[in-house]
Amino acid sequence: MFDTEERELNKLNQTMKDVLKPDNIDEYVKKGLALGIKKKRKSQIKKFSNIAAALILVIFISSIRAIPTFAEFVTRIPGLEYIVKFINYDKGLKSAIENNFIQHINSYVTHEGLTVTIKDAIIDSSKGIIFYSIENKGSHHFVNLENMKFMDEKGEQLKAGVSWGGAINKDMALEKMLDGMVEINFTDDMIIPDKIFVEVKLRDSATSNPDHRNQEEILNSVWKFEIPVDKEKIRNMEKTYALNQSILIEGQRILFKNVTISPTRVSINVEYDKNNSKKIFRFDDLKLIDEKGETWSTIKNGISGSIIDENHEILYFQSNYFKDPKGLYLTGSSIRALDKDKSTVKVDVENIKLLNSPKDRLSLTKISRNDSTMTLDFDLKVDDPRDKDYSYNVFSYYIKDSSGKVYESGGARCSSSIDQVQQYSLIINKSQNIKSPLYLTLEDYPERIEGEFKLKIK
Amino acid sequence: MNEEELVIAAQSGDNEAFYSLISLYSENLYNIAYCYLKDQHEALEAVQETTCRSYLKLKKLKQPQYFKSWLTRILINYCIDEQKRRKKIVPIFQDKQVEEDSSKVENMAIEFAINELEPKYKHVIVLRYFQDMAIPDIAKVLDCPEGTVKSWIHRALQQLKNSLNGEGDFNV
Repeated sequence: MFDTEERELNKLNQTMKDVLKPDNIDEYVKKGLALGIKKKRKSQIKKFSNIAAALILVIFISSIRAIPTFAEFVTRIPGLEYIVKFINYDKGLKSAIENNFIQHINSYVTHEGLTVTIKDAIIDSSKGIIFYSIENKGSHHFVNLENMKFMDEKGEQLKAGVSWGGAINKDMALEKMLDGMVEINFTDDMIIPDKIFVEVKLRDSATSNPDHRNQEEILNSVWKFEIPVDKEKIRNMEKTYALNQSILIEGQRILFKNVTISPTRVSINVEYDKNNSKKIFRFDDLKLIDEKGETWSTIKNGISGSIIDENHEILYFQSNYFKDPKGLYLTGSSIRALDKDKSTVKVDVENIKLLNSPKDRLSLTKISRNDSTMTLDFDLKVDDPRDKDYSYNVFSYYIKDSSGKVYESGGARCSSSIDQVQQYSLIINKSQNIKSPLYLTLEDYPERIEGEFKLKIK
Repeated sequence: MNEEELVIAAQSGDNEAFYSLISLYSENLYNIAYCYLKDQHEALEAVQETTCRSYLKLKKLKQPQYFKSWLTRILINYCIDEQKRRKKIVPIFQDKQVEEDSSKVENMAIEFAINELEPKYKHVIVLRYFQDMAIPDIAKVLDCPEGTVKSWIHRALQQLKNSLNGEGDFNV
């Protein structure tokens, strides 16, 4: 009765089977699983913090003289409640606010139906944190920060690194007001001005999908602000301790030069001996500890360090400025590092082959090209339990080809571990004329040197 | 491990078992999603999202032997939501997209006709002919009696016949 239709359907089925199957379905299954695992963990943390909140409540009910928590502290200051979510992970910043080290700016500008407010700022000699909000008074949708520029009185851009977390990316037709935070990382040779001039550019997108972004979405207006800085005060708030102690772990010498403590963070200057046989990538568990055993870890949600050159680095910790402990020590026990002569990976693009793979952890799975972009997909074997929740950003963004020309990467993606394997993709822009083999420099790798150390700072 | 054992292992927290389970069906999932969404990338995203959702909801699956039906239902629900969302956001692109993608395959006429079907008829056609699923399995996915599935298939084929014959140009 329906022979023709059934035949057509079967034919169509066959066509689809033949033509349309991509070879990377598995990749999406892995991504979906990784996402699921992450979400599950998040909801578990949430559950746990609900229980924790319930416990705190119980303590409050049973004891009148309870110590106020940070969240409770800020809710007593009208207008500061919103800050909790931004800095709750950083106990140094929390203590800065508890000690009233925050400037209330509350200055706002409206253009094109969008009001941008700089609400508060925390600025010391080491960095600035700007809290802002965007309010939709017109018919906008996904409004995100396109750029925030910082200038001195002469209109010159500050010599500073600026960073903000991922886009807020919420439909502002539904949520009229959104908050955000921007960090400015001052460099050592930067002169802090009496006033910081801020220029904000915004982008209004129709969808939340970043793949659909284009230039036309950037709004024409510039939202301009001024933030006063009390230079004298912040200069006096900085304390520097000379450390000049070195450690020797598995033959590698690391010199900790000095420690600077300011309200927003603690900076430690580190030098790796140029005669070391290994390249030092990252410290696993470096932390500050005071005489009572209280610890301050490195900054993970934000700028974690500044690389000065190959052998010099500044590492940042959550601040204990307002705690002002009597004794302070620097401790750690393991460091990710790899032989220098193995820290460059050579890729044969034509044959999709790695010409060397340090300790056989790295394998090249695919190279795809379109127009001018080349994407290299790798699998990285990660089997140390310490790396369970860590995603490796394996390579430097500067790639050299066989003719010696340097290409800049357009970004990289890394996945979390599934079956002890992480996927990592490196994207190289403008690569039409790139010449195989390529030389990629390792920035991080799951190989370690181990040895406990404890240095006295004061 | 057979499928049921895999489900039980996955429910007790074995992520590797869960991964093997999804891998058994990932191509099926992709094909179904493609039938609904008509876009390779979006179909892949559907596979990703279905993996994520099923991972989060796995503990709620009471009968391990119905894993495949359960998984397919999650995917179909996602595809339907996605279609609705797309209609809401970009009604203008909807037709254009169908046209563009259909032109890539030969069997345009029948594809058009399938797209025109009511959702329930579309479900049964996709599952029966593109997934080669048996009537009892389809009934489980759609959570309705087998008799209903049979009559839906019948009516769906009738409608396909009508629309193919109705437009003489497309007739084969």
